[in-house]
Amino acid sequence: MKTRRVVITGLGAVTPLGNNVGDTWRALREGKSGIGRITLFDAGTFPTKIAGEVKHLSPDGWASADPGFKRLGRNSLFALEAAREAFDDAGIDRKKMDSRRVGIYMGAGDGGFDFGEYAAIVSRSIRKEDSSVDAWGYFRESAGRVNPETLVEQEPCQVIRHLAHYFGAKGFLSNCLTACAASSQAIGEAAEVIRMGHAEVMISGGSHSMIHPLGVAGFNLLTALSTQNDPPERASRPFDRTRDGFVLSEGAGVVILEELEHAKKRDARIYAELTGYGGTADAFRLTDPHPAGRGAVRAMRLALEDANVRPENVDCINAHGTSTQLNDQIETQAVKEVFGETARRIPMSSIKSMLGHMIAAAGAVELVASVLTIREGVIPPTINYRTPDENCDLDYVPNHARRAAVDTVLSNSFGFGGQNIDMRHET
Amino acid sequence: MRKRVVITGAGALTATGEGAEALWQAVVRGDSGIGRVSLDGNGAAAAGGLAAARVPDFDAERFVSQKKTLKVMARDIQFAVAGAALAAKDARLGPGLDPERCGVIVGAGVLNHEIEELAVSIGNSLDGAGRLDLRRFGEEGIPSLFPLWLLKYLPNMPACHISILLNFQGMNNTITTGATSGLQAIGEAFRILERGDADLLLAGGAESKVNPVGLSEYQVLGVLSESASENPKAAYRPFDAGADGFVVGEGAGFLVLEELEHARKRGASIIAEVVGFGSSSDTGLGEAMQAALGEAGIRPDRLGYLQASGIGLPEEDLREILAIQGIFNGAGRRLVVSASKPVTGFTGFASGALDVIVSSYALKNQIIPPTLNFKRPRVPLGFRLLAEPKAGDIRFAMTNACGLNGHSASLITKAWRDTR
Repeated sequence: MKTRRVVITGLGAVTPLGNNVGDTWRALREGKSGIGRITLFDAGTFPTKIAGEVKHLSPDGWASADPGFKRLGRNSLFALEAAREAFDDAGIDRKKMDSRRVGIYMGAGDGGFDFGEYAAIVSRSIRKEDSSVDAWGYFRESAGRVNPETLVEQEPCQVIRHLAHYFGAKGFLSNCLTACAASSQAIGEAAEVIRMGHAEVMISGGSHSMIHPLGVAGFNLLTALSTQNDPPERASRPFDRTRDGFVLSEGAGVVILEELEHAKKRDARIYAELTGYGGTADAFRLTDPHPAGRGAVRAMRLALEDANVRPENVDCINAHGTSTQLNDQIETQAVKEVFGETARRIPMSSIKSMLGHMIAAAGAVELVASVLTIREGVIPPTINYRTPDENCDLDYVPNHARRAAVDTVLSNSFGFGGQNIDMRHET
Repeated sequence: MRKRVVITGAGALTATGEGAEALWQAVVRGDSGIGRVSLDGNGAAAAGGLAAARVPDFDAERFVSQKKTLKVMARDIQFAVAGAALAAKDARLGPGLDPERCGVIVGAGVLNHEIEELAVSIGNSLDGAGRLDLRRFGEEGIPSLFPLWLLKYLPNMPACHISILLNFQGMNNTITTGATSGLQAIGEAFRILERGDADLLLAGGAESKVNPVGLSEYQVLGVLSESASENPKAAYRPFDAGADGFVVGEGAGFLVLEELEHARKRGASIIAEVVGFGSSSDTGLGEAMQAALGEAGIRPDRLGYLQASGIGLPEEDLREILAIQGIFNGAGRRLVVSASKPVTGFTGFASGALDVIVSSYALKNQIIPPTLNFKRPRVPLGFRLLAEPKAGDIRFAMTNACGLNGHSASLITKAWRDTR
C-alpha cells in the first residue's frame, strides 16, 4: 500500500552551534562544542550550571513583521527561524502551492514558563500564619497580573499555530510531545501522512527550550543532567566511561518532506529519501529504559523492515547517545542485538557530544546532520571520548569527523517514558 | 488495501459520572454536571465559589496496581489512567493480545501543577523584599522540591503510564494540539491502524483544570462565562444568543480502536466504524471537515448529524457556524447539530474524545442528542439544534473539535451493521 515515496527537499536548524544549517554543520564537522555556562538565568548555585544556549538570535524582525509574533517564546522563535530556512531551502513557491496539501507536524515541549513571575504570585498568596496557600488569593493575583499572550505561549501547540499562520498552511496539522523522541516521531508520522496521500508537502521537525530554572531544577532532581561544570564543553561525553548525565540545550530542526513525484515535477533538489520509520514503547518504567532495550531493538527492526533493508546495509548510525550511564549502555546493547556481528563495523556517533540534548528538537537536528552525512560523505564525531567503557564497545567515531561513503543512515531517538523512534534515510 | 477500523470500547469519566453509558445518558437527558466548586479543592459549595464541572469523589486507587504510583501522577494523569482502564474493560480486553501490536495515543498539553508543591520551595527562595532569589532557589529551593516533580507533570506521562499498566508495547504518541488534542489523538490512532502499524490502540484525552492555576489562567484569557456565577447550570450555552463564555469541566474520554478483522477474531462487540479524518489550522475547520468527508468518500448530505465543538465563545462558535455553512453550501437546513459541553463543561484535551463517545453512542442507539441551554441563535445557523433527543436513521456522524488556541479536526464515524 505504501507506494508513495517521501523525500527531503529542505533543511533548517537553529542550534547552540549556529543559527542556520551551514554554521551548525561546519561546527559539527570540526568537532566543536556548543556548550557553555548558563547565561539565560543565574544558575550559579544550581547543581548544573551549563547548557547549550542559542546565541545572537533576535525576535525583533518577527515582532515588527506581524503583531501575532509580538511575544514569541524561545521555542516559537527557533521554530519560525528554522522553518523559514528549510522552506526557502526547498524553494517552494508559496504563490503556486496548494495550501490545503501543505501540512505541519512538529515535535514539541511545553513553552517557556516565567518562574520569577509565578513565584511573585505564589509568594503573595502564602498565608503568613501557617504558610499554606490561599487559593483565592492566588486566583486574584494571577488574574490581575499575567499577560494572556505570554500565557498562551506556554502551550506546546503554539509553535504550530505560528507556523501555520506564517506559511498559510491549511493541510494536515499535528503536534506531538514525546519527550526526547518528539521530533523524530513527528517526522516519521509526517512521512506517513504523505505516504498515505493526505498531503504533498509536510513542514516537520521540532523546537524546544527547557533552559529555565524549573527545567534545569526538574532534570537535576531526576539526576539526569551532567554536573561536570568545568570546563562546560567537556561535559557531554556519550559512551565515555566517565559520562554522568546529559547536557541540556535548546534549538530547532525542521525538514521539508515532499512526495517524490511532486518534488520531481518542480525540479526540486532532493537531499535524501526517508524510507523507514518505527515507533514502540518500552512499557517498563518512567525514566529508565528496559534493561534489554526491548523497545529500542524493536523500533530499529521496524524501521529497517519498513524500509525493506537488511541490517548489514546500514552504513552509519546517528545515535541517541545522551551521555547518561544507562542510555548509552543500553543503546549499545540494543544495536548489537539488532546488527549482530556487523554492529562493530558500523560507525555510530552522537552529535549530542557537541550540541547537548535539545530534547524535543534533538531528533530533527540529528536528521539534518544525517542527511548532510549522506550528502557530503562526512560522519560527524563523538567528541570528548577519552575513557573507553567495556559496556560501550562500538565504533563511536571518536573525536574526529570521518570521511566515508554513506548511503543509508539509521537515526535513533529514545524518550523518557520509553518511547522509541527510529528512522532510516538514504540517497 | 487500507485496513478498516472500528470502535470496540469506550471509557468516560466526567462530572456526570463514570463510564460511557453515564455520559450518554446525561447528554441525552440534558443533565448537567456543572455546579459550584470551592477553589480549595474540597468540592463543597462555598460562598463565592466558581461554576465548574468537577468529577465527584474520584478514587484513583481503583485504577492502578500500585498505590505509590499515584504520587507521580497529576490529577490529569490519574484521569487518563482511569479513562483508559474503563475503555479497556468496556472492550473486554483480556489476555491473548499481542502487546507489540497494541499501543496508546493520548491527547494532552500543559498539566497544571499543585501550587502547594512549589510554595514551600518558593518560600525558601525569597529575598528580603519577597522576590525570588535564584541563588537561594539553587541552594534551598531545589532540595525542597519533590524529586520526581518534573515527571508528575510531563504531558507525555499519561501515555507512558497507560502503556505500562496495560503492557502495550506498540506505537505510543502524545498529541498536543490544545482543545483539539483528544480528537486528534483518535484521528491519528485511526490512521496508524488504517496503515497496518498496529492491531489495537487506546486513544483519547484527559484534562483537569478545575484548580486555582487552571481557573486563573482561563480568567486571564477572558473565556469564562460571567453569568455562570448566578446560574451555573444554565450559563453554558453554545450557539445561543446569550453565550458569554465557557464553564470549566474535567475528566477523560478514551476509546478502543481496533482493526476490523482483529476485532472480529476476538469476538468484540463493535460500537461504530471510523471512516474519515481531517485536521487543519485554527482557521481551517472547513478544510478539516472537507478532508474527513473526502476520506470517507461521502457527500455532506449523507451526514445524519454533527457533534459540534460548540465551545460557547461567541467568536469561535461563529467560526464553526460559518465552516459548517461553507461545507453545506446553504443546503444544511436538515442537518442536526449537537453540542455536549453544557453537560460536561469544557474539558479541554478530553473534550474531542468525549464527543466521539457521544457520536458513537448516537450511531449505536440511533438517537440524536439535544443541546442543553440552547434557546435562540445569535446569527442564522443554517442547521438545527434539538431541545429533546430524537430518534433517527443515522448512517454517518461527524465530530468536530476546534477553538481556544487549538486547531481544527474533524472525524467521521459510521453506524456499524455487520454486512458479512
